[in-house]
Amino acid sequence: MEKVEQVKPTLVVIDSLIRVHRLKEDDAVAMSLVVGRLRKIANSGTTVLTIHHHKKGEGPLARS
Amino acid sequence: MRGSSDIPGGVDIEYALLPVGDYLVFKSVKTRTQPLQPIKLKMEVNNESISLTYQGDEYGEEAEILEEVINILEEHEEEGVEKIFKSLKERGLKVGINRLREILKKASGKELLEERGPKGKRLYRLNPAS
Repeated sequence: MEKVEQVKPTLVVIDSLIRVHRLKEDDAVAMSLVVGRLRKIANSGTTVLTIHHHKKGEGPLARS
Repeated sequence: MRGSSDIPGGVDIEYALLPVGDYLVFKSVKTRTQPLQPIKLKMEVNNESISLTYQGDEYGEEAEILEEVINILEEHEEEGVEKIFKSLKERGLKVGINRLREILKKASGKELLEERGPKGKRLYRLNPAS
């Protein structure tokens, strides 16, 4: 956040979401904290583009 | 999507890249503006590079079913939901009857015309103005 405030970029790309936190992805409280941080960056005027992966096994090409 | 629903819940716009048949389909999942028309992409991988090429719009299951309904009505002029459902099944297209009703209702006044039969049964024919 400090870096964002300093540089004031137009766009921040997070590739991928799992690389910027060490919390449990299926924990709603933990994820609302992470998303809240990203929201704070977005509210400062920077667009945040986050890459997040589907579950393994999701989609028609998934292997069982 | 993987993980808690708080992840997509906290974003303004969500796009997804999903494998569908031989293609990848890029589409809007959540948006506060007009959704994107889904597009098909072909991924080619060789020893030196990976490329994605645009393969046109993805019309999806609904358009495929409607196209076949149009073919059925070209042959039979006017049909009820159950007969259309049976014909689709014979042609190898799987759709639930309630989903089919939704598709037919949505196409009424556009590609199709809906009329009421003697017992109030919904009958569909092609819209000549379409």
